Amino acid sequence: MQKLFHPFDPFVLLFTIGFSFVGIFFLYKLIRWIERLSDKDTELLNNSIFTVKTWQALKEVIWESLLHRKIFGINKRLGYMHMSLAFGWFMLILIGNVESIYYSGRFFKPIYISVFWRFFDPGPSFPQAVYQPGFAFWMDFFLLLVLSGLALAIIKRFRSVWLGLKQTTRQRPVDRLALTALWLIFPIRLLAESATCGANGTGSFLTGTLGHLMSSALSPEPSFLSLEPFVLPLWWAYSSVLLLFFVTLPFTRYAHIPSEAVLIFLRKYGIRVSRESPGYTDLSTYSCSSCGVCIDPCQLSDALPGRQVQSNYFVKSIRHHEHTDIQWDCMQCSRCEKVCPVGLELMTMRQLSRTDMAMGSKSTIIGHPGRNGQAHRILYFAGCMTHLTPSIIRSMSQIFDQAGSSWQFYDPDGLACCGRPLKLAGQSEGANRIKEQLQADFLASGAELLVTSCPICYRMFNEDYILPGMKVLHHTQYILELIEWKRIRVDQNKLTAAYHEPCELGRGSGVISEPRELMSKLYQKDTTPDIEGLCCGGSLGAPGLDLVTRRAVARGALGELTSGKPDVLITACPLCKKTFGPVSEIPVMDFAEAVARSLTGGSVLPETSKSLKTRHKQQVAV
Amino acid sequence: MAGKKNFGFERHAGRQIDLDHADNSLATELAEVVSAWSACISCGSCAATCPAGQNVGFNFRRLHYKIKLSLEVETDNYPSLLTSCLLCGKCQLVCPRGIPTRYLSIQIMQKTKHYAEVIPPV
Repeated sequence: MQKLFHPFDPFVLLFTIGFSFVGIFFLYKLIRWIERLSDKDTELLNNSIFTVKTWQALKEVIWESLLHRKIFGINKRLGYMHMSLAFGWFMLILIGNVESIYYSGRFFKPIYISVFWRFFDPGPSFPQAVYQPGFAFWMDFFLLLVLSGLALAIIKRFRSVWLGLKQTTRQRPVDRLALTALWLIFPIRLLAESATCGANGTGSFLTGTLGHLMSSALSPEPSFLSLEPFVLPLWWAYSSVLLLFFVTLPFTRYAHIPSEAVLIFLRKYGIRVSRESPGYTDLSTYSCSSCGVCIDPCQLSDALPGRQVQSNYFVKSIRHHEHTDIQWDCMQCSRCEKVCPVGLELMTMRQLSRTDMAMGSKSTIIGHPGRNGQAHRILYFAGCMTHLTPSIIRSMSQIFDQAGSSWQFYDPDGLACCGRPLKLAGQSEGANRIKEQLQADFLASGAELLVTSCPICYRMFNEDYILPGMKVLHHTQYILELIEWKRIRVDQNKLTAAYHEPCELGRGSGVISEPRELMSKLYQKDTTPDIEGLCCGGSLGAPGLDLVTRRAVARGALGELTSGKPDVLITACPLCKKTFGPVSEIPVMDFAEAVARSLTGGSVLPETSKSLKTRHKQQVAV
Repeated sequence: MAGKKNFGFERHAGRQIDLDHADNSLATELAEVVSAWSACISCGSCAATCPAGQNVGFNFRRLHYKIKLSLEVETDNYPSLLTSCLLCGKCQLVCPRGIPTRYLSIQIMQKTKHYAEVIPPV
């Protein structure tokens, strides 16, 4: 016969209060997030919610929020740690629920019933239950899984290197409190369940065995009664740590547990971080789990030791509305974005936070001398930075001429700017104004192909400009095309070279294979290390960094790039060349220069700034 | 003969800074944020390489030199001129003292926001 009332004990109230608090908090947050979406994004949400996208998002939630597939891809031990905690806990909740429904015969019941089920129903008798893989067995199995993850989490906190992280996130006091609560939840649960099982002579391989050991340690006589006084206090303790965890959860990194799932759904619907949808940006900040994966790839971790500038600290600072200058301390190299397991749009978030700080630039570009009425097939846009490395421009014009291209130099006086520097500094309004002007100008030129030497401009042209009927190529792509069409011929030389992949070209624009192919055509031996592209330190993304820090980043990157002892370092960006030049022991060249040297049959190696200086000193001494 | 004699050259008004009235608060604030600014030797490389400077009458060297000397802060329209800065960072690359001029520019923009709001852009 069914009982009229649900089983009850006062300790369940603590859990119920905590759980209700979290529920109400996130319901309120969810309403706010949706409310603060732009009209366009609300429409996207309404149009996609009853489509296949919802199922795809659900699949992604299982893969990412529970199984943490992306972290597994980055680091297996770390992946196991996150998976065991998330998936193990989820399974405990799921199986606990099914078990309580199965035995109580009631589908609708207070949530605490399934959470504290072992207290109300001590389960099958020990040791028989060990050999029958029923509910008790699986509950023990997943509790063990969670405990193994917890052990790794504790190791990570004190010896993060063992989990493959050089550094782990530094935490705020409230994070520490929640972390302590989280660490206590599962051991106390183990003790509480074991004590209950020990007192009743029940349980499976984990709780049953431990309960049996506990009771025999307390009284050598098999009476089972002596554990009884410990049972209730342990369940009170379990309920209290749950309360503590739930009450602190919304204010800590653990807020990502409910938020990340919402983020995955909205992202699947096509919503992206933008100034018009502050709700989505806020949701993104809540979804950061502060896992610390972004810290090691950040080159500023070495260049600015002790400073907390990495993305997880930045996200925290905007989430808590702190007025710091942290948004400026970022080179926008997007190494962190690439590894972020949550897939947060960290670069856009930084740029948007910069908009809040600075005022809208009213930049305009007036007139472009050097253009004549005649239409040419190719328009060459050098870019601001290339004007500081004139040898790249010279080399490019040699290449154009040698190939017999019909080309025109767009900015011979160095007056044009693509607008990306303004965009990176958060001045999207000014950047847009420049974009409108250049766009119209490019289209009016009648050219079919726009070739640029600067990856920063290349990315801007590709991402922001609308140029119908006009193809945009970085000069590495263009040169490779020329070689493939046999318009120019380069000879492979015997030197060893390494390629430095510019952030904006590789990660930023996805131009990865072309420069590498060009490398194989130019040099016999390629010693490019197999690492994710590094930032040279000259980044336009980080206006706040001083020269010392920039040089430190450059030296760090050079150390990695020249580990294979190359004769020359090849890059595809004038800014990288300019940044590496003064600190490099070996010559730094752009692809254009290397190709032009090969075309003209000149010396294959330029001089380093160091050797130039030495020679100058010798001459002065003479 | 009374009056000014024309010797074929002119004298201009004294450029001495009136320390009683000079307001160098902007310079002090900026120096706090961009400490490397104190290393500036006013060589003018920044202005020479500036693409905006060749388009409009924007002279970065003159601008921050004036800020340093607290000259004509109210009357000069430098804040609105600064809005023509493209933040391209060329000045930073050519600066022989390695001053983060791009950041300096952003900081001046922020700190002189109130001027820019009253003076229409160029």
